[in-house]
This record gives sequence, C-alpha cells and structure tokens, in this order.
Amino acid sequence: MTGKRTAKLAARLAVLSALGVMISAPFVWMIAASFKPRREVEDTRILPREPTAKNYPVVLDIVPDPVTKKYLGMRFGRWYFNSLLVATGVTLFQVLTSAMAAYAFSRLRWRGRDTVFILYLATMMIPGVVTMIPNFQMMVWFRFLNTYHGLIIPAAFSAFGTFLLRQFMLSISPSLDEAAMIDGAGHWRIFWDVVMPLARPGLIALSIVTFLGAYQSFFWPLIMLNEDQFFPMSVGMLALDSSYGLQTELIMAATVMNVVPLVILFAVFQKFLVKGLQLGGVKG
Amino acid sequence: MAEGRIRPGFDAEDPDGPTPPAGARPAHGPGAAGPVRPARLPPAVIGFLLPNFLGFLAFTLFPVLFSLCMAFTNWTLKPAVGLEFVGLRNFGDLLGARAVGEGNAALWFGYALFAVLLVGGVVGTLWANVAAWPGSKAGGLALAALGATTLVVAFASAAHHSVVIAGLVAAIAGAAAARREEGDWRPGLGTVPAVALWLAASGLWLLHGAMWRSYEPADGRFWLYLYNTVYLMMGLPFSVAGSLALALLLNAELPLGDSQRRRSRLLPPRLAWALVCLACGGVTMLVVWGLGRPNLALLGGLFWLAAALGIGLGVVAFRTMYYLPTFTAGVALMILWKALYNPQTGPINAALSAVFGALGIDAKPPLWLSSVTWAKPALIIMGIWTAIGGTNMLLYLAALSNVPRDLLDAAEVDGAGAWARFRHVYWPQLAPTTFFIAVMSIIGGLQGGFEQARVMTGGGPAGATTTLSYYIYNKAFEELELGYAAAVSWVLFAIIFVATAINWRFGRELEVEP
Amino acid sequence: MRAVFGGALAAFAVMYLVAELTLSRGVPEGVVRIRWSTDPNPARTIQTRLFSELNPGVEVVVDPGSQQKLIVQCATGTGPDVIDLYGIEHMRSCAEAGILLDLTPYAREMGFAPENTYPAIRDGLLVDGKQYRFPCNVWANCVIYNKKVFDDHGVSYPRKGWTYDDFIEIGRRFKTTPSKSGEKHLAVANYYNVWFFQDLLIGCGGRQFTPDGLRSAFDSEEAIRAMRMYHDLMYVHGVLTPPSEAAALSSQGGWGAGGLNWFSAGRAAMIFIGRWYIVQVPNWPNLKGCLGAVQLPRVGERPSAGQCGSRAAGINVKSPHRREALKFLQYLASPAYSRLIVADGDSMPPNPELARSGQDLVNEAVDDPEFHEPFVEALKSARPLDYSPYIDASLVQRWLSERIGQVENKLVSPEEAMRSLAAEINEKIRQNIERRPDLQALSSRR
Repeated sequence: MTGKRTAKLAARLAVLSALGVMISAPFVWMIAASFKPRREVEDTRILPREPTAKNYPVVLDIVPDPVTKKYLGMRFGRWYFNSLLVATGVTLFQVLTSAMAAYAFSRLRWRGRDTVFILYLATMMIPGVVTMIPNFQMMVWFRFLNTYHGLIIPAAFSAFGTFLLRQFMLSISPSLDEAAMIDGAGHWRIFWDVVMPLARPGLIALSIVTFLGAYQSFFWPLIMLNEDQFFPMSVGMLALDSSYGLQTELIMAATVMNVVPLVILFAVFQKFLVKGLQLGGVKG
Repeated sequence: MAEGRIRPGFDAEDPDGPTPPAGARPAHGPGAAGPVRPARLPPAVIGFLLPNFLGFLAFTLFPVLFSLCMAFTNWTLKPAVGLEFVGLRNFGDLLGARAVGEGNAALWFGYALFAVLLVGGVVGTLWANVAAWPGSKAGGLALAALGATTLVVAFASAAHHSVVIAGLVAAIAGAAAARREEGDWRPGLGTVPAVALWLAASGLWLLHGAMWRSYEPADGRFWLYLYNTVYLMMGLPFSVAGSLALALLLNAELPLGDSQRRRSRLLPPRLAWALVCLACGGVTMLVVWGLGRPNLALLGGLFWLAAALGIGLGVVAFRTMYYLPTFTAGVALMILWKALYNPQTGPINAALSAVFGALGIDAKPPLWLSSVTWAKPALIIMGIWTAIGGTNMLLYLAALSNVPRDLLDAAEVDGAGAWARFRHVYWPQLAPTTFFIAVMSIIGGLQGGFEQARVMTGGGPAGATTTLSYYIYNKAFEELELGYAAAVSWVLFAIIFVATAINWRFGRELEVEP
Repeated sequence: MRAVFGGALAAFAVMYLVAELTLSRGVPEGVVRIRWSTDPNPARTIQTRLFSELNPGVEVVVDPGSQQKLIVQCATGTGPDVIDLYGIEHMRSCAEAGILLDLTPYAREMGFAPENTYPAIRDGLLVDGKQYRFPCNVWANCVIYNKKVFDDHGVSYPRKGWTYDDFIEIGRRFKTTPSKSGEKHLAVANYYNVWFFQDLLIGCGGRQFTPDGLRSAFDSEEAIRAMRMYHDLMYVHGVLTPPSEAAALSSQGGWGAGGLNWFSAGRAAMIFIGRWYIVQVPNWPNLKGCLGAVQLPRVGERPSAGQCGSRAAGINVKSPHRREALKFLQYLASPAYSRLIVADGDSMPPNPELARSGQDLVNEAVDDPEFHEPFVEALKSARPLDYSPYIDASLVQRWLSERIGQVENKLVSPEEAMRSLAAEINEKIRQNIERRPDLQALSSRR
C-alpha cells in the first residue's frame, strides 16, 4: 500500500517538476542572459560561455558601460523604491475599496444593485485606448501629474477587484451574517469580523494580482511623469532601449533585480494562502 | 443571482457556525429586527459603496461617456478640421459596404438583410440555448443540418477555409444543442434563430458572387482584424482548463518524507530525498554535457532541482515556479519568445526537427512569426504557456481552499472516484470562480493582442497578427482619427457586451443547482 | 483582519512620507528647465550638458516617450518643449495636429533655417512652405560591407559607381562560392524593408505622389519597376533575404531590428543603412578595421540616389519656454553640437561645414576616411520622400508596409500590389477631399 502511494506521489512530483521546468525556462534564460556579454546574448546556448558579472554594476550605475564608456544614469535605488511605494499604495486602497464595494454588491440587497453592477462591468469592456485622452485630461485638471498620489489614486479603483471579491463573497453563506446580526452586530462589524476573514483567500489572490499589476504598470506612469525622481522601474528601464540599441543583457540584469524580491515575497505570501486554507475553508 | 440560493453543503440551520463576534450587545438598530429588508437604500450601502463608486465615477465613467460622444463626430485633433457631428458616418465607414462602380439597391438591401439575419441568428441561437427556450432542441437539429450542408457545399466547391470553419462550428454547436436532456423535439421560439441562420446562409450563398463583384466592404481590414482577434482567443479554454488542472495538482500538499521508512537516521527524510534529487541532477548534467548538449544538460539538471525544491519546500515551490512568467511579463518576456520562435536558431524548431527526424517525417518546421499562417498559432501557444500557471491558477487555488472538507469526505465515504469527486464536488464549488474567469477572459481576450502586435510582430506579416485593439491604437495615435477610433472601440464594446451577456446568462443557469 | 490592514496602512504611510521628504522640489533660482522628448540615449547627457554650458541658466531634461505619450500630452497642453521628430510622416502628423510651432519667423535670424543645413534635406523640414523642425542629425543610406566576410568568400569589394547588376552578381557569388572558414554568410542583412523599397523607388526616379499631391504615383512605371526589382532581388536572384530567412535574424526589436545584429556579428556581408550604424561598432570588437562603405547601387544608367531623412527637433507651440527652446534649435545648428555628432557617429551632423569630406567625419569608431566619404556623396544626390496634404502620411506608410509584406510573402504580384495601393490611396484622397472643406479649398488653389 505504501509503495503504491509512494509511486503515485513520485509520479505527481515528476509531472510537476517537468511542468515547472518548462514553464519557468524563460526565467532561467533571463537569469543566464544577464550574465552574458553583449555578443553572446544572441546565442542559442542558454549558459554563457564567458560569464560576466559586469552587467549588474553597470545597471546600478556603479561603473560606466564598458563599451560606450558612459554612465547609464540609472537611479535604480530610487526607481525601485518608487515601484514598491506605488504598488503598495495601489494594492492597499484597491483591495479595501473593492472589498467594501463587493460587500455591498453581494451581501446587501438594494434596488438598482444589479444595474449598477452591470454598469461597473460594462466599463471594463471599453478598450482603454480611446479613453486615454479624456482620462489624461482629468489627470491634468486634478493636478496629478508628477506626483505620487497621482499614480496611486486613479489606479486604486477597479471594477476587476470588485467583481472578483463579489464572487468570493457569494460563496460565503448568508446564514453567518444572519447569525451575527441576530446577535446585534452592525454591517461594519460583520464586514470586518465575519466576511473578510472568510474571504481571505480571495483577498490574498487579489492582492497578489493587483500588486504585480501596479508594479509592472508602464504606460500610465510614462505619460504622467516627466521627472525621473518619480519613475517606477518599468519606465526607468527605457534608458536601456534607445538608439544605442536594445541592450538585452542589461535589461535582463535589471529585470532580474527587479523581479527576484517579488518572487521571494510571493513565496512567503504563499504561506498565508495556505493558512487561509485552514481558516477559511472549513465550515465548522 | 445566486447569492440568495443556499449552496449544497451550507445548511442554514447548522449549529456549528462560527460564533458571533465577542462582546456584541443587543442592538437597537436595524439588526434587531432580523436581516435587512431592501425597502430603500440603506445607509450601509452608501457607506460601503461610496469610496469605490466615487473613483468609478471620476476616473471611469466620464472618459467613457466622452468617448461615446466622440464616436459620433469627426474628431481628429487637427485644428484645420472643424469638429462636426457626423452621426453614424463612422459606423458606416466601419461596418458598411461600398459600391464598386454602379450600385444596385436591391443587392445592397439583400446584403444588409442577410447580414442582420446572420448576426441575429447567431446571437439568438446562443441566447435561446442558454436561456433554455422551448424548441431549442429542434433548433439545434436544424443548426446541425445547416452545418453539415455547409461543409458538403464548401468541400464540393473548394470554398474559402473560413466557410469550412463556419460549417464545422455550426455542426458541432447544433449537435451539442440537440443533445440536451430537457425539452422535446417540438419546434418553438428556440427554433426561430436557426431558421434565420438557414435563410441567411442560403441568401448569402446565392448572392455572394454578385455581391463581391458589386460591393466591397468599406473597411475590409476591420473584418480581418476581427477575425484575428477571435482567432487568438482560441487558446483560452485550454489555458483555463490547464490552470484548473494545475491548481488541483497543487492543492494538496506533497507528503513526501512522511513515509514510515527511514533511509537515514542522520537526516530527516525530506532533506535526504531532496539531496538525492540534487545528486541525480548533478549526474544528469555531467553525462548530458559530456555528450555535447549543454542546453539539454541544463534542462535536465533543472528538472532534478525542481524535484528537490518540491520535496524540500512543498507545493510552494511549484506554485512560485508556475507563476514566474507572470512576474516577468512584458517586453522581456516577448523578446525571449521571439528568440524561441526563431526558425533557424530557436530551440522550438530545433526540437521539432529532432522529432520529425526521429519519426521519419519529411517536413520542415514552420516559420512561426514570419509566416502568415503560423504567426497566430505561435502567439496562441505563447499565450497558453505563459498564462497557464498565472493568475487563473491563483484564483482557482484560492477558491479550492473554500471547498468544505466535509463534502469531500462525504464523497469519499460514498466511494466516489476522482472524476466523480471532481464533477460533483469541485466543479460546482468552483462555479463562481470559473464564471469570473470566463467573463474576464472574454473581456480581456477581445481587447487583447495589443502588446504582442506592438512589440513582437508589428502587426504581423501582412496584417496577420493585428488585432482590433492595435487597429484602434493606430487609428487614434498614428493617424489621429480619434472619432473613428472611438467608433471602432464602441463596436468592439458591443461585441464584448453581447458575449458577456450570453456568458452571464449561461453562468446563471449553471448556478441553479438541481 | 483589521490589524493586517492597519499595519499595511502604517507601513505605506511611512514609505510615502520618506518618498515625499526626499523629493527635490522645484527648479533652482534663475534656472529655466526645458523638456526634450527624445530617446534616452547615453549621448544625450553630453549633448545637453554642452548646451547648458553655452547657455547658462537653461537646463535640458530628457523626457523619454512614445508617439502615444506625445499625442496625449499635447492634446491636453502638457507636452514637452522640444520634440524630436523621426521622419517626415511624424512631422506632418504633428504639424497638422497643431502641435508644432512655425519656425519660419525665427529661423533665419537665429541661424537654423533650411539654408543652414544640407540642400538635400531642406524640403524635409517644411510642410506647405513653412518650416517646422531643424535636424539633430541627417542620414542618407549607403551600403556598409564587412571586408572580412568578402575576403572569406573571395569576392571583390563593391566599387564606387556599381549598379544593381553588380549587386546581383555579388549576391550570386556569396551563394555559390564556399567560404574559406566554412561559415555561411548572408549576402545582405535585412534592415527595414520599407526604407529599402523607398530607396529603390527614388533610385528608379519615382515618387510617391504626383507633384500636386492629388494622386498617388505608386502605379507609375517607376514605382512598379521598383517593386518588381524588390521582388526579383528576393526571389529571382536570391540576393535579399526572404522572410523565411529574415526571421533567422535576431530576436531583438527596438531600434535595431534583426539584421543589424546579424551584420554586427559578422554573419552577413552587406547592410543598407545610414552612418548611424557605427554607433554600434564599439560593442563589436570583431568589426574594428573591417568596415567599408559604398553608395547605393545605381539603377541602370541613372545616378545613385536614395532618400534622405533626419531626426529633427521641433518646438511645441504651447511651450511656456519658447525663447529657451529656440536657443536649443540654434545650438543644434552650431558647430559645437555638430562636432559631438561626428564624434558619436550618430549619422551626419546638421551643419554641413563639418562634413565636407570623409576626412571630416573620421571618429574613434571608424578612423578610415574612405569609409565616411560615400555618406557625404550620398547626401548630395539624395532627396526626401514626397507626401501629400490630402492623405495622412503615416497611413500611407502603413499601407505601403503592408503591401511590401504581401509581396515578400508571395501573396500578390508586385504589379497588383502597387496598383491596388495606388487605387486605395486615391479613393482615400477622394473621400478626404469630399469631407473636409479645408482640403477642398487647398485643391482649388493649386
């Protein structure tokens, strides 16, 4: 019996590992490319023949680019901090406001609720390209250009988050609310103490997705910022793609530095998803 | 909406529900009388909704309404062109037809009529089946017959391959509709859309020669780009199914190392097994590298490393690995995939050549991104690959954690196998998430393909990978035809809206438990 | 749950405070800052620093961006002060959108009028007779070749005054003669097929539009001949790389599409490109001392000719710092700036005085005056592409690119492609004139 179980486990492990290699192979290529000199980047061989660690100091502006002898002028530290700041702010506000709105859409019954929800949904269906100019005009009117709050506030409202959390909250039994209400709790209490803990997996999933999205957002920061002290990493990395040519190995180095802390954060956050498994899933 | 229905497994009278928050005093407010009655807008609603709603009004609604107005004008940002209200002209330029030489009013009318019947028939068929109108089974049969006839005619007359695809889709959809258990074979309201499709198909077939000679589409590229956009969505079902499969695989822990047998008293079993894997990895790498295949050696070594990480860290390792493409999304990833798809030096074609050689097939691997026929499949494959372990998998994992244990236990006690457990326990519990993913996939898919077109293909060889969103971008920002771009956006919106409405209705059907 | 959010909020507040407190606010006293939207090239730092030295009190901030960003910002009045325009289509687009300042009143007295730069590019700075930009650099394509690759196959270098027949012969030799080193090489690395075709068009003596701009000239004899030549070079003579092999060229997008790196790596013998290629040379030590250049091949008996283009700067009409922006354009026309361009290798300097012969253009990357000489010559006989006020220039460019793609993929014949392109353009012109009173007025004036 144990042998069969072990065999099944081993099979599962093998499948998962194979898939893992296949799916994360691009990432491996990226790390390898970040250690290659310029002329090897095109090579099909994944590992560099002449590995060099020089790309990282060049990106960090510690040494000038050996070929052009010019400093890249990348303010990696500041840009990285900006990305983190904006991503944290956006995630925090978006999750909070979306959760509250999702509560209103799922636990409360009111006239016009479905209409308003469909309206929310409908606005996601407009391609963003044409709404860009009026949107930007509003940013100008609100004086959001070249500020941190200008990057955070507009991104903090999303129909996506509301929709997602609504789905999660729908699967929580209303009887819990009723029980709490009978015991005299108001909506605010129910929200925080009953619904939110049970919706934790959804909250975590939304947080991860939102954080990543805000971290990687490129276009809106690009058009809203002119001063490079506000740039997030995604915009700052443009310096590596200019008429001097796409400097792939430097972009890869910058991307690796950009992403590795996220990966670690993600791996750590996983534990909370698992914990949520134990807290949120068991009904009784 | 399903929120009012009690889900199976959730018993309203369950005495084991969590205790109410400690310290709750008897309320004097609305809670004292029981659950809230939706007579008018309770203050709670306003409080909860307001922050989000304000943001929505400010940042979303206004620009959207603005662009709607612009779709009816000739706005181009050029001061020399005065802003005028042009009514439906942009839409006509987009969806209409233009006479080649002399027009023929009767022909034009026929064309318009059959186009309307076609669109109405398609939407009607979907809606009828989703809303379970009477007569849908008969309609399904009629549709299947239409599909079969179309296929026969298409092959007999060597028609364009899109006709073949249309026939295939009709036949399969019709057969699926006809196989439904509910309803009977009597014709009813649900048969009307199928009849409309028969009329449209016959009419278009009879007229098509004359029509193409006398009329041409006002904006032929729009239809090509629409086709591209829909084509690129073909990979979505596979991607979502794959994400679900991965989530299921990763849901349970890997209890390796809890085995009774102890290999070594010095190390905990987990660590021991992990080290064994690492050792295997080292050996594999040395051997394969020695054979002169460094890339393969690296991949082999990585396989063992992944296994070691899985044993050591558990499923967390795999979830992180699968999510990596989502982390590196963007230009870096696209550059990488362009390299992978390189026909001469890329690993994909290298592998394919090896496979062809081994199987003795005499064929050259395709040219991928520079081939008109293979560019889109290349993008689809890339899309599936990068998305399969991404956000959808995460959402499914989160949803799976909400599946009540007692249901699963009950099913196991009842002797249900893995597939039965999946169908009757997992699938219904995951319905809201699946629904969400389906809706978002359609919304995202129809608006997608923009980054790929801009970064990887520039719109593809001869426009093969240009999607509607890239078209809108070009019209708006390269040619500065903002009114027209707005019109295209709203047509796209209409398509998305109808597709989502059908999906929504379908989702509601699913949420009704028997 | 409340604790989690509370903690997160606190952490965010701290980060926000730190960020805000470490911002550098405002501009120092007495300094004017102007924004220059251009690609964030490392050379810009030196160029802007020199400008600030020559014009104390003015700083230039490089603002990276894209066409989309430019349009969105200018539509709302928050655009940059100095705008880099990468081609005639771009300039026409921005001029028609009312973004650019008409420079004609200022240009002559401040020294950046068309007369201050090469004769060849002068028309490329004007829209309907008004000047809207001044070059940051000027380019005309030549053929750069790798002497090592030629030696490897035992083929003699292209000579001055060569024709397309010579070109075909060279291509044939590359395919049939094996190399001494055993490596395979492409005869020509693909760079940007639309430019290649347009050079061919001008080489054949063709135009894109009739002189009055009312009809497309793509169905003229010269244009059809150019497209047929393009097709034949690819599929009959096998000199140009068809898409199947073009895809073999590298994966890198951006400024150097595939062929650039292929040529740099020494896998191709020739490339049709401007002098700005040598910016890449320091990255590739294998190219040192191996490069030669020659003007574009002649079509039959006609002299060698191609298009000339320019990355040129215009000024935002709504800029609050117009005076300083104009000073920047004046700086572009100055010898000091041109010397920087020569040293950098970023095509030809805007000031013709510094590029009278190949010797003037010698720089660190390539110190052979014979290499630079053809570029000087090419600029004498080049001319900018002609466009029409009745149809959007970038639309024409896109449709042309589409047709070229179709010909490359053998979906249509060259004649069909050109005729359908001309027909489509004419139809669009007709529609534009019908719908726009300002164009009707223009057409009746001509």
